[in-house]
Amino acid sequence: MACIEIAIDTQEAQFDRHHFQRLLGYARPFRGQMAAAFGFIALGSLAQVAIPWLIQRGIDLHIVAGDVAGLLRTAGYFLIVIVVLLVTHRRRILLMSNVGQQVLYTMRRTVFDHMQRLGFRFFESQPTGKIIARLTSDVRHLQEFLANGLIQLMGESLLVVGILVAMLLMHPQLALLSLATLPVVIITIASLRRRLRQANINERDTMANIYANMQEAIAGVRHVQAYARQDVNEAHFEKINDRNLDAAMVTARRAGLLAPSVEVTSALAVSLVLWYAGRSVFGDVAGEPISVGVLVAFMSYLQRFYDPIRDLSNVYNLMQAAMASADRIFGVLDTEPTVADRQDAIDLPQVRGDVQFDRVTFEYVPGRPVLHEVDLDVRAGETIALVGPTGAGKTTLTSLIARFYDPTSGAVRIDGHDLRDVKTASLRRQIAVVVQEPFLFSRSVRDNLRFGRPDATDDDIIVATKAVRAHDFIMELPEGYDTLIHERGDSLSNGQRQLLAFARALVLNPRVLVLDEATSNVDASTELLLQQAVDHLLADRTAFVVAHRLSTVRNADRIVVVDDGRIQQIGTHEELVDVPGRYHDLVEAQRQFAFGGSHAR
Amino acid sequence: MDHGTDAGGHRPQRNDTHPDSATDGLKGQAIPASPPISVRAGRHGERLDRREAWATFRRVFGHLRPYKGRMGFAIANLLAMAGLDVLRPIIIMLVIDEVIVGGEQDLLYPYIGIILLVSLLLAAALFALTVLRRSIGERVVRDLRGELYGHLHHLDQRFHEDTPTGELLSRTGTDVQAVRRFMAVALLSTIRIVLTIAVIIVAGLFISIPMTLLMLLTGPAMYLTVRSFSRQTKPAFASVHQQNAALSEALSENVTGIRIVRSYGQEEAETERFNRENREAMDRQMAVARIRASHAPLMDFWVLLSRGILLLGGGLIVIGGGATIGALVAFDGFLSRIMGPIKEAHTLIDAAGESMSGADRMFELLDQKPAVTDPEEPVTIPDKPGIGFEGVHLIRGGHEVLRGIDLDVSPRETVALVGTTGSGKSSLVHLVSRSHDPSAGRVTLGGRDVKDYDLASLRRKVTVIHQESHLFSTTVWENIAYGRPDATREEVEEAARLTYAHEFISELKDGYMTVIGERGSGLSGGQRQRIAIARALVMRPDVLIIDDATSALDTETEQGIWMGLESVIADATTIIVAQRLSTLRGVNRIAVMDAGRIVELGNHDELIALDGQYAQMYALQSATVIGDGASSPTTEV
Repeated sequence: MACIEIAIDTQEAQFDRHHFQRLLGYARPFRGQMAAAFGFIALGSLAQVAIPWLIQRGIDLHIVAGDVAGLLRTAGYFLIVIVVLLVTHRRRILLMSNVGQQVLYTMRRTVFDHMQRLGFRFFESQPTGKIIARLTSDVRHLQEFLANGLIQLMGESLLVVGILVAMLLMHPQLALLSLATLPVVIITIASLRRRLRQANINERDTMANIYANMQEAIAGVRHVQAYARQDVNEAHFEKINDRNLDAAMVTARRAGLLAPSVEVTSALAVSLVLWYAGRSVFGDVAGEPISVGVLVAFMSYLQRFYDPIRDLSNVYNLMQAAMASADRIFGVLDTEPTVADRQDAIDLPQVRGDVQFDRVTFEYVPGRPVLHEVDLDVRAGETIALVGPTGAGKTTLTSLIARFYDPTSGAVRIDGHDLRDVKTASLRRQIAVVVQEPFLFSRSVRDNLRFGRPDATDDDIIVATKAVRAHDFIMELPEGYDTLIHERGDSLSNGQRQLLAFARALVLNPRVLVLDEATSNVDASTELLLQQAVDHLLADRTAFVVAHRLSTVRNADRIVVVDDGRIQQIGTHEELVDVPGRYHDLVEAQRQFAFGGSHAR
Repeated sequence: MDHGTDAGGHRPQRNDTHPDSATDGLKGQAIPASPPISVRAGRHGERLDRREAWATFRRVFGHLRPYKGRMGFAIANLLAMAGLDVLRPIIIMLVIDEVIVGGEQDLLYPYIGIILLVSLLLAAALFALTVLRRSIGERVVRDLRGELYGHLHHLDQRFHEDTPTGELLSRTGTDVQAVRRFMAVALLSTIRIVLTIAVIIVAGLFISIPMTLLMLLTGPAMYLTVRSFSRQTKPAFASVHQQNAALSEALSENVTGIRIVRSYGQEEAETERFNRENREAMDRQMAVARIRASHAPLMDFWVLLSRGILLLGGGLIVIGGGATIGALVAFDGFLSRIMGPIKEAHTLIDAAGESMSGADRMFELLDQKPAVTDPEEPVTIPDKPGIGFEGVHLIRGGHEVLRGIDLDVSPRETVALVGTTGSGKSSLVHLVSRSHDPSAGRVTLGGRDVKDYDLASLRRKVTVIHQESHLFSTTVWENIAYGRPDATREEVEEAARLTYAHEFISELKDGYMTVIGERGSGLSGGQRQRIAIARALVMRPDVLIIDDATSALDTETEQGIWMGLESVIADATTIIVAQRLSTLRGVNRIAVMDAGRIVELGNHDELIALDGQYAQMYALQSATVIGDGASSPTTEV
């Protein structure tokens, strides 16, 4: 059944002001908390800047001077400063985690909610894995950027500014001298970053290949084994795997240059400071000689100074990932639901079940109609069989009844109500659709059965399961109605699953029922069983039955032959079977096929 | 300077809020969070006991063996780095004591020269280390991935049926990455922390014993903090992981079942349901954040407190003449050197914890023994063999699916299996190609137990056409020639013609060279199935198993395909599983199965004469197919 595909989105995106503003909108409800966090960051940066300052004081004013009382006082300040740092750091983590998680939660909620309203085309146009990625990795990138990136950006910038100010205040000449290395660092990091980026992209592409290959191999493993292709596959995979290793090593070599170049530059700065200090002590430069404390404080500052610069490029990475994710998420959020309730939509009252197609044209792709001006009037309680070749438009026709789509032109009406005038929820309470692939949710049998009517009692459910003869096998399950249904590979056969799907529809007691190839995937005798169930389903409701097998449809009140998006013939089996035309041909084809050949050679 | 950061990849996060954000160089990939694998239900999330953890560790370690040389070189680099790291504060001490305080002007330039030299060496070692540890990590990951990939290919059907694809992918994705993190970051960084601390203590003892003691004063507190952190995070992470898995599952179910959700108007209820998981995920993440908030800042605090203690105590020692001012500065330098690696410690604990559970899950998968294995001494399969089932029983999921099947299919004979869903037809035929092995009894091919043959050659001999078609995302050509990459153009086209696929394939954009995309790129289910059947025909099978392969096709197509298959079936030993009696053209015998037994066996006429289940089915189906106007008693539609 549904397997989770792996989706890897390798793109990065440049900064986009509109996306950014929209993102900030999600953080807006938390501006109080964010402001508080910012306050704590500012306070924390101040404390960090204060530490070397205090050490300088301690050395120059007290230790060198032998002032024990002063030293004790400075140590006291030191303790206060680090306690402040501890507290602000703690508060900051809590506040920002909270904001980040709230934003994450809200985004997931918003996107999920929006997806519930999107047209099926959204789901059909991309693999499940990609849709899931929107709500997992993409929202996480945004949260990471908002909660970590932005805060890191602010925190680090404040720290850089604080250190600069402190150094300038402490010793302007020395400060300017030690900053001489700054352009070197910035240029080196920027150029390395650029080269690294390309390597990163390559690495991700090779990784995407690995996942794509694995996903496919695992999903199709029985076929791989059936054709004894393991060795070929393994050899192929080894190549892909090695390519990823090579790409990763290119990244490693480029990334590996970053830290060493910062190390060398910082050593250069330290050397400059030492040189100046030495010269000043020997009176080679103007002004006061540099004290030991100032020297120590400078070295401490310089060490902290380069970290933020390097970290800022990390923020840049977060930003790029976030922008690409924002693009995808907003893409989803900006997709208009194809079917939306009107402002003035009314609740559909209890209907009898007259269904009318009035010159209905429908196009999935503009300019390529799948249905052409279809007219069809169905009386309440009638059973209509839709037959015709694959792609004729049968399923599309039934999708319009449940309002999975709105017609491009014309109207679909139930009891005279245009479907676009009623609330979709009130419509779907009175319609049930059973499709070829019986989809059950991984929850208990009972919860599956009352899926459409959560308030259904056990009696309601048992009436339905007995009607479709599912009660007995359900009772044989390990925990009866409480048995959990799993994705695949358990004791329910396809036929049994389909019976459960029928019972689910019956619990809803719909006025209009659509069976889309609901009985074609099971064996003959199960089909008979299902058909008895179907009799119950169809009794006094309007029903549309789509089927390939004429055996399933011949007793419908009317048979509608659809081909090429048009209704070709309408009538009962008796009326159509002997008249030259599509239906006659179909019946003949099946008859010949089934009994034309000998059964034993 | 924080050498633990190779800026392209692993960066200890300061305030990240969830465990899987331990950034990993590969942003933007969505790997479903590791859900607890079903084969190991129950153990996930529990703390592994110590011995078990050690065993896992040793096994991970075993994968390092091929890279001993690299590992040794990396450790040599670490040693050099630890030494060089200590050298700089010492030189600064010398500059202060001898040059600035002592006034020895001549020494200034040599010392600056040494500082620059040391930093160049350090930079070189750092570069080598970064590249080496990535190289080791990536290589181990490549090996593990290859191993897993191969292993999954050899695991039997039962395993694959029981384990969802998503779970296996996260085993090979997330878990392997977790192990890499361990290899690349945790292991070497731990060695580095230990080495650096050791070297600093030794150097400190040479300079000033009392100051060394002062520096180490907060050591026990740090140890306790780390320990408490690691104890609290493990269960918290496990619970976050579990919830992430639940969240992806809820999501994936909603997406795959969206039609049902819509048609039953349950959007709101489903949103509500999703949001419960969503909120729970948030709460669990916050629990992790609280643990972080109470530990990470504390680690910083202890290091800073050490500096404060040193300033006060060391200052007093200097004032008392017990040490030079330069010594004090050197110790302060040591402490700021340690700060980076120690701050990293908490990230290491995350990584190690995650890696170990990832490794554990992964090894568990590698330890799954294929239930179906090759014989020690395989024999050659005769051409056009017959098939025999001798007293075959099969128990699956505690359920006896087959209850003693005896059936002989002569060479080139065609036998059809009919019967209700769940009667065991599919299970029976899949024993021939050894998708499973019978629980009792044996299946023979050409008179010998199928277990005597080499699996690959058995499967080349026996071709199975499945009910659901699976195409690989490559060209149509390669899909058809899948089992015989050396097939000629004529053979491929011939197979496509037989399955009525040639025509539509020729109309595709690039004909046979059209690449089939993920969702079929415009191919209908019927078209895909026809390609899948063509793939089987290219094999020129001696033994053909057709497992209800055409019931999803419309009548005309189905009819055409059976006509195409006729010649192939005539030449091969064939078993057909059929839902519809209409597909049973040209079969020699029909076996009717019911509840895991063969209840009727014979040709069409014999079975009709028997007037049993088959006759009943035949009557019902012919009534519904060739209706003459009079409605049959049981079908109303």
